[in-house]
This record gives sequence, structure tokens and C-alpha cells, in this order.
Amino acid sequence: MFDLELKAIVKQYGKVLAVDELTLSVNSGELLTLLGPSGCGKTTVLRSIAGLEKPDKGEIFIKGKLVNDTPVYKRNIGLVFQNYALFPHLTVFENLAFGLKIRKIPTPEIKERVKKHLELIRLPEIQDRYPHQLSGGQQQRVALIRSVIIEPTLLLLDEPLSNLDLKLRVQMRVELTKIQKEVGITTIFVTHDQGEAMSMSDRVVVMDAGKIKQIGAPREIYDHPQNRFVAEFIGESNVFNGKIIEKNQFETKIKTNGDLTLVALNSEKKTQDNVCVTVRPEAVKLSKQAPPSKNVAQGNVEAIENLGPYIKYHLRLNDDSKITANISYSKNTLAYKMGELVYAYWEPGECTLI
Amino acid sequence: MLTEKIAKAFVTFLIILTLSLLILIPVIVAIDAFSPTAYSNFPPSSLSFRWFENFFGNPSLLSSFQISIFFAAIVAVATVTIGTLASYVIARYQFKGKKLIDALIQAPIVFPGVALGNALLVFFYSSGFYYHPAMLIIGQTIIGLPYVFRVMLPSFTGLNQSFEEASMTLGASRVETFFRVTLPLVKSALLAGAILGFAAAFNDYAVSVFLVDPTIQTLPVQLMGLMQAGVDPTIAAAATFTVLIMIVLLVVCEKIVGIDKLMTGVKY
Amino acid sequence: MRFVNIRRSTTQKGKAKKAFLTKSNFTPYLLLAPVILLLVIFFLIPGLTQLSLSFYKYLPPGVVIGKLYEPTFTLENYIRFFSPTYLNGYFWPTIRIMFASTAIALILSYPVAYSIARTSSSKLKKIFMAIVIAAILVGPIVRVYSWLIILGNEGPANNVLAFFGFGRIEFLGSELGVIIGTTQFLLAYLILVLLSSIQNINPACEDAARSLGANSIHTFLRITLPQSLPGIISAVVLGLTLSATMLETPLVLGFGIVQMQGNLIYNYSLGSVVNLPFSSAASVVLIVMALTISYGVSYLLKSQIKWAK
Repeated sequence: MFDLELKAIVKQYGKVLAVDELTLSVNSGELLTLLGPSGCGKTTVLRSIAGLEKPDKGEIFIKGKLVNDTPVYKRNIGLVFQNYALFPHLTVFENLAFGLKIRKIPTPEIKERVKKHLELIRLPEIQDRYPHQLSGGQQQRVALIRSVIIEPTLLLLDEPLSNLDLKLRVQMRVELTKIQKEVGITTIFVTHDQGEAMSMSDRVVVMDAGKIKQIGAPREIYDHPQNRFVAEFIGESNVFNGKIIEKNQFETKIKTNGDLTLVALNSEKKTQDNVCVTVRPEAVKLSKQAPPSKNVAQGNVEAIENLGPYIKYHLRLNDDSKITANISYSKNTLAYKMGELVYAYWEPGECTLI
Repeated sequence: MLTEKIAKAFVTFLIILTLSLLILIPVIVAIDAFSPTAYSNFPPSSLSFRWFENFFGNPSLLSSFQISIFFAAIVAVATVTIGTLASYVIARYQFKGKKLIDALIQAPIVFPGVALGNALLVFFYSSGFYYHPAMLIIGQTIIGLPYVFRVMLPSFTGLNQSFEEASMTLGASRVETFFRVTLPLVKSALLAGAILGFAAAFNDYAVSVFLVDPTIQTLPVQLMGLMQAGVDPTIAAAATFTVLIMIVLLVVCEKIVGIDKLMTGVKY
Repeated sequence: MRFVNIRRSTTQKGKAKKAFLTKSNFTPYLLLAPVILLLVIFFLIPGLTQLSLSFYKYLPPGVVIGKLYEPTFTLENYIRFFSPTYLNGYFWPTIRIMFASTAIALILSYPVAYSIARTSSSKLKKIFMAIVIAAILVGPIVRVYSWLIILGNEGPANNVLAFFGFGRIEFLGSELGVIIGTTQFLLAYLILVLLSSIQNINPACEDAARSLGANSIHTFLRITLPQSLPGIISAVVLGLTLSATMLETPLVLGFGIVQMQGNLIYNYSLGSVVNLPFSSAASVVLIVMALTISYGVSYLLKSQIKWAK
């Protein structure tokens, strides 16, 4: 049995269709991320699971039980807000004890649980402080365990890291994942930040305009995007439109609209099909001489971005299309100059056909 | 430029004049309260407490004072309770007729107090309930309600909903959330509202005069009656004492809450 | 929280359920019931009672024992109200006092409101605000009694005038006295209204004007004043409404000689001759006046300003 099931959820706000027939199942103990640009509906879905929004259509099942009509406070879920929403008039202890008091848990046990959870986030001394006396990172962790301490069926996180600065965010990613696995609770995470989604999740749900574009493990989504949106939203992609002109059991040949001939590995598509070929910039290599590769394009360096760990070269190809190559940087790497004529090449295996 | 300097001087003069006027009014009453003679010889030559003795020694005045305090306290509680609930509903719920109800609650402010008083008199007289103390409480509540409402409504609309949502996700029902989370977070507005409701009720004359009977009088009504007979520093003493109470309330409010909260409620 | 009608989904077996109102759609109305009841019973209905009474026939005492009026339709009360005696005795004085005191109060309040709005020192601001709010909180009794003393024939005002050789004026019992008392009454309220309006004017506009070479007078007339027009209109409306409906001030400072609308109602409901239909009619006229000013004048003037909020 799935811990959470969403069946054909629809939510409309006036003229805007925020969630469009969304269906999803979540396994027990899994950390699932809803990833997508602003307005894609991910927060609406999360709030519907929590009970703070009511879907216009569709059903929500938590551990097999239909909860559409169950009010928020009876659903036994934990929700961590983007702004943490720690109660300003209560101390850290009282904030954490809040949910337990409502459930009429006896005081000694409350004290015990609070102590245990504060140790979990490595902040045993802050019980008597007020939220405004804590740093952003501390508030975030307290908000997290406030939801965990009530031992909910699901843990929902609404962009919990977006208010933190970069270094802290990266640190918290690791810590969050660790805590989640330690407590073992089924978690749904909402974010627009790919790095978070990719590094933390067991599975990622890529969303756009209220629909699911792809579901899968991070690696899977990155290596095998199933549509153009995912290819362009996750990581970076060079995209070529073209037609399959020839194929055999090992390879597929594509002629692009710009008159390039590209070779990809075997695919299920047929000859004469219109396809999109995508290549990750980190898979594109550059050379001054013509390289012995099946995928070669020649062009001039139009722009160079020095991004620290790698250099991004923007090339304008002979047919006026563009390609970018991310070349890993170390002090011995050959650097290319603006306007230089170079060859870009990559392995057939690096092509994805959509 | 000379014109500019003259203009600035004139404006400064106006400002000082106006502010002095505002300060002067209660101050003069206070001074009169301490004057030694019955005849208002202004300014008085020495200080005397006789008028205060007069006030505290006068059973009818004292009883009006007590009645005023008592009724105002009841009205404060009533207006805060009703006003808080009403403003919460309007702040948090969407429903038809919201604007209408908002306008209805605030209507008594634009409504002439005299007209309301007369209307209530006519209403109670024709229904046979005349001369019941509850009338006074009702009249003063209607007057005080808009003030409370106008302090509480922005407090609730300004309160981030995520606190209440967080509380509900943690298992608290709407009612539990209201008392454990919402109200504590608007404590300051509640206090300001209570003070405004109290002041509106205590100081009211225009409505109360229509609803009092010879046996139950509020202090303002009685003092006004005395005033129509002429100047009597006992009135000053009673009024000064009242002002003292108001100052105490003001200070309490400022210490706990800050002047701005009061301002929101008193503004038109 | 937003509550929306739920349509139950079509289950796999195709059972379509009818749309229904959830409990939550009734909740706001239920919770508001006490307030609504209170206001309907003790505000709206008395208003209507008063309105109907204004059309009833007056019964002089003794004609019918225990009854002060007879529920037959008549316009006698309104006719009486608009007769010259009453118009001159109550209505016109009210109009004169209203406009005079509002005008003067406006001129006096604006500078104060402006300086409070533009003060950088928050301590000073707090003190000013405290003065203004205290002026309202102390109540009408203090105010009216204070003027009674000040404007007396032997009072400070006349003493000052005599000192400067101006001769004594009989303030009490004259329209001037009532106007003075009313003006001071309006000050605090007008200051508050103007204050909130002026605070919404971006001070950067004034700085910009000055940097472009305008002096203070120019800046004020061209930049500040026009932008504060909505606030001024609100202040004027408030001033007119409050002064039209006063009771305490004319009652005491008018000495029975100068009377306003409020006095009329007071006299005929609580005075020696009780004529409830007549006082009700006067009351209705007063309400109409107040509402006209509040909504009518406000709307008219504001629509003249194209950019007003």
C-alpha cells in the first residue's frame, strides 16, 4: 500500500488551471520532490495533501484512507513552511510541544521527545529561546522537528531552504536528507531548485503548468529526459530539431534542420520521424583539428564564460545554429580564443532522442 | 527669500497655537479644579483641594461615577468580544455580503450620536422597555463597536496566515488555533480596542442622555446638567479625575502596545 | 483559508454525487449572527422606528392618556421643521457654525499634520500623537467645561483682550463662542485624517521639486497641496459631519441662545415640551444631512480629482 496516493487532482483558481489531472503514488519512507518553475502547481498540490486547499476534483488517499473531507487538523501530516511559521509568542520548547499538547501526550513524555529531537538537530541548548533569537538556519531546523516530533504519516516541506543563503542551503540539504532517512518518514519536498531536487530525492516529479512532465530517479531524469521541457529544465541542453534518415539495430542517423548529420544510439523511433536531439554541454568536447567522431560540428567561438570549475564556450556553427560546450577547467587545459574556428564533437551515446 | 521666511514663521506660529490649544484645554480644567474660590477667578491665587472633597463627598456624583465606570467596563468587554469575532470572520472568510456587513458595523461612526440616542429612545419607549439600564449598555456598545472593529480588522488581515495554518497542521482545530495562536498574536490590538471601547462608553453624552433615568445617571450626563447651571469647580474636579484615569489608560497602552494601535482605531 | 464548493469526484463505478454546500459555507454567517442581530435590532430598527414616528401625528399631553403620538400619516412635522422660525433658530445656525468651524479647523490642522508627518524624530512624533489622541480621549465634558471657563465674561480670553485694549466680547451665548468651541473640537480629528493622507505623499517628490529650484512655498502649492487633496476632502467631510451633529458644545456654550440641530432634538425629546414626532423628524433630517455629506459630497469632490484613490 502506498503511503500517499493522488488520483486525478484538479484545482482551478478563477481562470487559471493550477493543477491538471494529476496522479501520483508515493512509497513508504521515500523522499519525493516536486520540482518545477514558479506557478507550475507544486505548492498547490502540497497544500492539497495537507488539507489547506480543497481540490475541485480528484481523490487523495493517505495510507489507503480517503481524506478529501478530513480537515487539516485530523490528517496527521507535518508541514514545514517556507517562512517556518514558528510561533513568535512561544519558546522553542513550547513550539515543539505544541502538537504534542494538542494530542494530550503526558508532560514527561513531551519533555523526553523534545530533548531527543533537539539532539537530532544538534541544538540541545535552545529550549527556552524565542524564535526571533535564533538564526535562520536554527529556525529552519526547529521548524523541521516541530513537524517531525508529532510522528506524522507524511512530512511535507514547502521550499524550506529558499530563505537560507547558499552555503547554508547546501549544508542543510545533506542534513535534511540524513534526518529524513534516520526518522524514516515518507517525505514530499517542493522546490524550484534543481540542485536540491537532484541531490536529495529518491524520486523527482518534474512539473509544468499543472501537469507532470516526468517522474523518476534523479539520474534517470537527467540522463533520459522524456520530453523537451524536462530536457531544458533539468541541467542544460543543446537542442537540435531534425528527421531520422536511417537506422539500424545499433545506430540512428538524424539529419538536422541545419543540415548536420548526427548519430545516436538505437532508439524506438522510426525512420522519417521528426525528432529532437539533445546533448548535454558537458558531453561536448572541443578540438582544433577534425576529430575522429561520428558527431562533429564546426563553428566559431562566439562567447566565453569563465565559471570557475569549468569554462562555457558558446559556438556559432556553420549553419548558424548554436552549441555550448562546458569544458572542465584545470591549469593545464587548452583554452580557446574568441572567434577561433573549432570543432565540437561528442559520442553517439550522449545524444538523447525526444 | 523674505516671503518664504514670513510664511514659515506664520506656519510655525499656527502650529504652536494649535498644539497649545489642544494641550491647554484639559490643563485649564485641571487648574480650575484646584482653585480656592467658588467664583472662577482665573488664574487662581492658590491651590485647594476643596472641590475634590466636594466631588468625593457627594454621593450622587460618586454613584454616577461608579455607574459610568461599571457600564464602560461592561461595554469594553462586550465590544471587544463582539468586535473581535466580527473582524476575525471578515478578515479570514470569503462570503457574499462581506462589504455590506463591514459597512453596517462601521455605520454608527458617521451616524449622528444624537440621532442614534433619539432613535433608541423612541424604540425603547414604543416597545415599553424604557428606563432599563440595559439600554445604556446597548447604546454605548453600538457606539464603541466601530472603534474596536477598526483596530482588530487590520490586526487580523495583517497577521500572516501561515501561523494559523501551521497550528492546524500540528493538530489544533480552528477553535483551538484561535485561542492558542491567533489571539495571543494580536494581544496588543485587543488592549487598544478595549481602551477605545471603554473611553467611548465612559465619555459618551449624546447617546446616554437619551437613555438615562433620574435614578441611574452616568457621570457625563450629570456633569453636563450641573454645567448648564453655571461654572462649578466641582465639575472640574470630577473631570480632572476622569482625565487622570484616561492618562493612566493611555500610558498603560503606550507601554504595552504603542500609540499607533490607538491611532488606527481613532482615525476616521 | 478559502472554502470552495466540493464536487465529489466520479468514482470508478460512475456514481455522480450532487453538489452540496459544505458546513463551512454557513460558518461565517453563523459567527456573524450576534453582531448582525445586535445591529439590526438596536440600530436599524430603531432608525426605522424613528423614521416612521416622524410621520406620525403629535398628541398634546392629556388628549389621549398615556399616548404621545398617533400613528396616522402626516407631514406636519417636516412642514414645521422647514418653517422660518425653526430654520432660523436651528438649521441656519448649524450651517453657519459647521462651515465656519470646519474652515478654520482645516487651516489650523494642516500645518500640524504636516509637521507630524515630516518629523524625523520618532520621539517627537510620539509626543505629538499622544497630545492629539489625548485631546479626543478626555471626552466632551472636559472640553466644554474648559471653554466655559475660558470664554466667560471674566474669563482668561476676555482678560487677554482687555489687557491688549480690545474691549470685552460676550462669547458665551453667541455664535462666535460656539464656533470657537467647535473648531477646537474638530482639530484632533482633522489632524489625524490629514496625517494619514500626508504620510502617503512621497517625500521624495518634495525633495525633487526643491532640487529643481522650487522654494518651500512653491513646493507646497504645486506638489504637496495637490497631492493631499483627497485627504483634505476627507477632512472637510469629517469636519462638516461632526460639527453638524454636535450636542454638548451648543448645549453649554450656546447658553440656550444659540441652538443647533442637536439641540432641537434634545429639546423636544427631553425638554419640557415633549413632541416625539417632531424630534424624530428633526433627527431624520440630521441623519440625511450627515449621510449626504459623508457620501454625497465626498463622492462629488473626489470624482473631480481624476487620480484620487
